[in-house]
Amino acid sequence: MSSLLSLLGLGAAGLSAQHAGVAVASNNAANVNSPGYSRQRLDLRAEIGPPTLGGVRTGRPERWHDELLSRRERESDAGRAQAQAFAPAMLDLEARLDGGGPPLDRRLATLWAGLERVAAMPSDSLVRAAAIAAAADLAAGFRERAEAVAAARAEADTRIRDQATAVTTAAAELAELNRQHAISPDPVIADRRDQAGRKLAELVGGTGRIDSDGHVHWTLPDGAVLVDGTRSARLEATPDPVTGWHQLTVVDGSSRRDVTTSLTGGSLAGELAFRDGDGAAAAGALDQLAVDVATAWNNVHRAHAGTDGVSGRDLFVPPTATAGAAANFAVDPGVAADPTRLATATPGAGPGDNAGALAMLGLRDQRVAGGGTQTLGDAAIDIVGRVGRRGAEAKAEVDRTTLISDHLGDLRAALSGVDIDEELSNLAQFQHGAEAMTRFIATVDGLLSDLLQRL
Amino acid sequence: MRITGHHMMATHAKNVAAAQEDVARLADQISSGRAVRRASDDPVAWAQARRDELRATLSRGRGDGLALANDQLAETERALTTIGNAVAEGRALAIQAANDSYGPIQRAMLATHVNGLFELALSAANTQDASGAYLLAGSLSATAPFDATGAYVGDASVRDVETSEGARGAASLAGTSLTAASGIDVLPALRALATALAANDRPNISLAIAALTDGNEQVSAARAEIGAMASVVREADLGRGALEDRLAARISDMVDVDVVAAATELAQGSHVLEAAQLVGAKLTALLSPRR
Repeated sequence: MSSLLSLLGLGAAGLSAQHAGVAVASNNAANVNSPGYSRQRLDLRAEIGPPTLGGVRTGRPERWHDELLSRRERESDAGRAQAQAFAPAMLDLEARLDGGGPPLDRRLATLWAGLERVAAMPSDSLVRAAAIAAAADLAAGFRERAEAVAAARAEADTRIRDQATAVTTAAAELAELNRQHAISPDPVIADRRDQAGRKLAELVGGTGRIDSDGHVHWTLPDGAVLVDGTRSARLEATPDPVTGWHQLTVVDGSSRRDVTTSLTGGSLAGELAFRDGDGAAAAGALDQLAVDVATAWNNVHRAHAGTDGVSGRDLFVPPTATAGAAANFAVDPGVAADPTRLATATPGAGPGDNAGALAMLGLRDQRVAGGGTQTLGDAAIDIVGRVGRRGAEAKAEVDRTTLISDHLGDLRAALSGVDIDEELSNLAQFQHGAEAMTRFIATVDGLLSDLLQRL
Repeated sequence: MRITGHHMMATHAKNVAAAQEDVARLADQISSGRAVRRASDDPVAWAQARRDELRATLSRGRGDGLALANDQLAETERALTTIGNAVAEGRALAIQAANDSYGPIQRAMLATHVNGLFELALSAANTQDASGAYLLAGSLSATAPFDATGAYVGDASVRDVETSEGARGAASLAGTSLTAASGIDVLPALRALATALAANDRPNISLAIAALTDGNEQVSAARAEIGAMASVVREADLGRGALEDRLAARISDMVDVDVVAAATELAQGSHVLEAAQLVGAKLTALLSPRR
């Protein structure tokens, strides 16, 4: 009799195991579209012992998961997010530099075209006024472009500030999931922890590893620790007192570490590369071109005289420093107000002399920009060209990193993804198993009832 | 490799998106006519096209300068023609008046006529352009170059204009071409004839014939010089037009879309997109859970 009762227990355990299998298959099917969900499998273990004491035991469901693949995915996410942050910023900067009115090279060409007319009719007041208007238009072009570059960098700076807050939140979330996982190593918590890690990688890059205590530990390239088990640090964005741009610091208690220049992955790295790298270079190139234009033109202008016979005047307000030269570029107010001051003549000659106009036309072909390596027109074209080239490289990098991400995603899907047909097949399998155990229990129950009746 | 139904649908969605992107890109190129619209599309082609556009814009500006110079040269030529005609007529009258058959009264009448020729030539020598600048004044273009006696008060400055990239040519004539610096003082010679006729001074009338003969040749030489300048300016403008045509063709080669090739690619891309959409419908049917 005790053996029959044991068989009932065996049957009950078997039925419970089949029901657990049905539950796991159903859970997998229910989560087929849940982002980051890893399919689970039932841990079924045959019990040791004589047939009447054997049976099956079920353990906690396990995830189909590969930590090495997850780590590769996080690295790939960091690279892809960095490229996806950098590329649109560069393409946007290209549009701002080349759009919003005639670009600088065209405005320079318009000024030279105006001077051609002045050279032919140097004492015509309308022609002179038109040339000065073209100079004013060039100056406006410099100011507009400087403002556009500054606005683009400021927008990147705002995104950096906001993403720093997001990093702090994501790090805290990861630490909390570490805590929850330590209490209850549920596969879903493990999935959520993986997702939190990917989010952190997309934001700030770095390396996540699972320590011997089972916690995810997250460090940045220079060793700054963002997440250490159940504790997380903050990523603070603080405006620099000199530049005003936000600098990034990992703060953990009393420990502070500046990571602004050491990030190598994630959208933050992309935004910083734009703001402090290519964006800054474009601003610097604009300022340098402004200095080169003002210097070259003023040198010629000072050496010649207006129709009033006076020489020594500047055409453009001389920049006081290279930084900010483009934003402050302007025609000399005296010349702007009085076209007779446009220095088109040789000093001492009459108003019909055009040597000054011809000398200013000669600036077209002189290499007075780029440290004496470029003409002014080529330097203006090169500012946009360089940004465009980097934008093209960035687009290619987005394609490359997306290809890698997609490939790793395919590998992950192959391992951890849910296939509905497969789960339906598993469901049928466990359903049959449950039906079989139900019949088994009914059979043993019948034997017991029969025995009791005969006693 | 294990392929799940979800993965098949996700891959299909990505392929449809890629096909749509291709079709959108080609449609944009065909409708805009440009294969390279931004530097990031093709940095090398874009930069070269922009440099050529800069040259073309500068060339058009040069064309404006040449057109203005051409107008001024034409105006100068007209003035010299008037002066030349006046000098030639004055010379003919001097030859008549040198004849013994002419008496003081006839010579006095000729003096009035020659004075009129002098005033006409003086007015022509002080011609102004549309902006009020005196054409034959050299650089002192704000002041009439010849005074009431026909003496020159301008300077010898000549204005150059750009004729092509890196090249210049003269596009004005100073009034010194009508003075002793180039031969004789032409206008004073005409005035001297009028004075001699009024005074019935036969020896000076004879002298005026030689002076006005030289003056006539001097004016002709000045007209020839202006003609040569105008010819250079016209040739330069033709060359400028040819340069701009070449630049336009080069720019088009670099950045304009090959419409036929793009249309063919668009047709191919459209077929790919349609096929992808059909595959999507098939996949949806295939992957629906069966009862």
